[in-house]
Amino acid sequence: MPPNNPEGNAFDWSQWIESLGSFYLSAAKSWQAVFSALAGSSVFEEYVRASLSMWRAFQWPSAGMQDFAAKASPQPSFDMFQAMMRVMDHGGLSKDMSKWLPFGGAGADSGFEKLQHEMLKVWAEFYEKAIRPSLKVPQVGLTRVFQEKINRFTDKFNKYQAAVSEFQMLLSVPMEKSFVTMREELDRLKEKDELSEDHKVYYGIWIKVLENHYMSLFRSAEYREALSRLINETAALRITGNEVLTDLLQFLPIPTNKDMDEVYRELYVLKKQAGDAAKRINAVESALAKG
Amino acid sequence: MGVPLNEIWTKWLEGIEKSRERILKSREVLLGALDTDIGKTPYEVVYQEDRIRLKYYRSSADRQVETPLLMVYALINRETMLDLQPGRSVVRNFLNEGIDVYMIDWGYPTRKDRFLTIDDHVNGYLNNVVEFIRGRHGIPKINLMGICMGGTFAIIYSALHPEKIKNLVTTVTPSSFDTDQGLLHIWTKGIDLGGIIKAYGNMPGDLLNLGFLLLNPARLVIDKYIGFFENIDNKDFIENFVRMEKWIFDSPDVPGETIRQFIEDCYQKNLLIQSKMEVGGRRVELKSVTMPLLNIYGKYDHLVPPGACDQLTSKVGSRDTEDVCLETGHIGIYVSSKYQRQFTPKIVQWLKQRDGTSETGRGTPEEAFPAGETTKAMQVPESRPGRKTQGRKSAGHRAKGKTVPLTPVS
Repeated sequence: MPPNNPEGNAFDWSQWIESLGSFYLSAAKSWQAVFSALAGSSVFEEYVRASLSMWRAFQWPSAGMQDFAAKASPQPSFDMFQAMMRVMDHGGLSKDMSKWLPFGGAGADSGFEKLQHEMLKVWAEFYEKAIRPSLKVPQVGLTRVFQEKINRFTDKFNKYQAAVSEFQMLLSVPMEKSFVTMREELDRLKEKDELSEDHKVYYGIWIKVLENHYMSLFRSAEYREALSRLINETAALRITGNEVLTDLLQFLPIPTNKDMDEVYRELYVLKKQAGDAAKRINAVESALAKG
Repeated sequence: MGVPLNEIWTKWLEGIEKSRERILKSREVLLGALDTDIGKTPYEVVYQEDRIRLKYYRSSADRQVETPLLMVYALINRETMLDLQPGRSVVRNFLNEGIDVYMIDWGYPTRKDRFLTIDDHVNGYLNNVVEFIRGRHGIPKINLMGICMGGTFAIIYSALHPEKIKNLVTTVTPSSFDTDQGLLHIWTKGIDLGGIIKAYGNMPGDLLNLGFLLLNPARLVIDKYIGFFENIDNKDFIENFVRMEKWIFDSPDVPGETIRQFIEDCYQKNLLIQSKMEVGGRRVELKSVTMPLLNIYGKYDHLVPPGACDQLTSKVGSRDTEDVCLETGHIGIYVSSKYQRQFTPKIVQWLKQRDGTSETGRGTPEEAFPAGETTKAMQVPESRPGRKTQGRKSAGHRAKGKTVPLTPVS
């Protein structure tokens, strides 16, 4: 990034970022009220506060780590490298801030992990209470049936997305935990002066740690429920999607899956009946041959 | 962070630098001619029905076991795993030991196969194949070997048609599903497959494969491919690796009704081991499995754990049973060099001990039927009057229900 230009000839990136940040933060605070009312979430508000604090830490590090919010500087800095250096000079981010970072070092109680969970939960409840009902509004008119199918498909698509996001989030947790565990392990090895020069040693430790975290996850009820939800929502999306596609295919001179399934079922039943009949005929023929 | 990550990073980069030569050599390997074909042992397709094919591998070695062996693979993945490459081929090992082998190729189910049930596979296709082999060799009974889900089919078949099976060999075969040793057993408890079957018709093979990868993503998605890159200049390694990849990701869809019944009746209700499962309107009574039974499974099998296999021998009617637990995994039993030296010889020896010559019929198909006559095989009656029936226990066999660690058979 170019340095800040005090003469005002260049674009003032720093102020722009600050304004943008303020805008999003105030917007997030407004939405927080909505989310809180709908889903009773408090984590989001905490996260917003920490984000604001973190942003200001980079903007006004000289003011000290504990009271960034209370201080203001007429010359805000935008050089990220310099900002980071200054933050590090002041002892790094506070505990409250760093817990919101991915791999923030808080292990199972990581604020970031909690936030991910909370965001998914908030969104799911928000969708359920605020958006979903609108997709169930009775449709009228000539295209009523088609519109209902499309609304149903939209609903299932959103539910599927939520299930996929939840599942992906769960799968990412062991990876994050493995990095945290690995960092602790490296600290431990360093303390014991047992650090190896061979990177394969560390890879071996990490992959084993990761495997163990995955095994713990896969045996949990939470994972089983998420997997079950994902399978159900995938099936539901596919079924409703097929309904819409079948309607569209009606306009084309080609058979749909529904048509073909009916043919296949009939064929299946007929083949079984033919097989049974052949067996009976063989038995009769054998009996006749034996006299 | 307080730790010299830079040092580790530097060492890692140094490692890359050192392996430059290896990377350059890998070009020669990857761009050169690679032998990655699987299923290369010559065979003849002797029977075909719908999508099903019956492969016949004829042994040219001195015949050790007169009764032919029918191998039934699972509907999940393909039977080519039993013939991955010349040095790691269960099929070839049997041929070298003088056993004629038949193997069912279940083919690739399409949407029209979605209504096929376990009954259609067991009492339909499998029974037709057994009838064909009996007729072809002029014998009343054949040896049956099942692999994984194919083993479950083999158990069901042996219970419903014991008069046609001389010896039963089950390998990594789930029969008792109420265990929490394996993730599949845990996951399938709460899963409703009805929606998936309704949506897709069949169970998509890719979806199953994704599920299998998720059983251990650290090893199967990351570590495996790290190993690949570390050995990228090793032609033999790459050839073996690609062969295995070809096999793993060659995943036919599984007929919808079959997998639905398998999951519901076996994994969720555990009916088979309780002799409560019904197939084709008949109850599968394990007490009807009266032929000698050899049950082989892997101690470290994460798909079909020992807990899913080790109850079978105590539930069947046969008094001549044996459990063999090998210290390997689900696939290692068939492809690991170490267990290749134990697995097939053990089965051959076991079959040899139980292979009476009095009911082996007319020997090879060529001796049994002149050329062109084999197609009439399905007309062979189910029992042949005057033939000697097999005793329930042979002298020198192990007592029922004991498990012994397997030592290499010399």
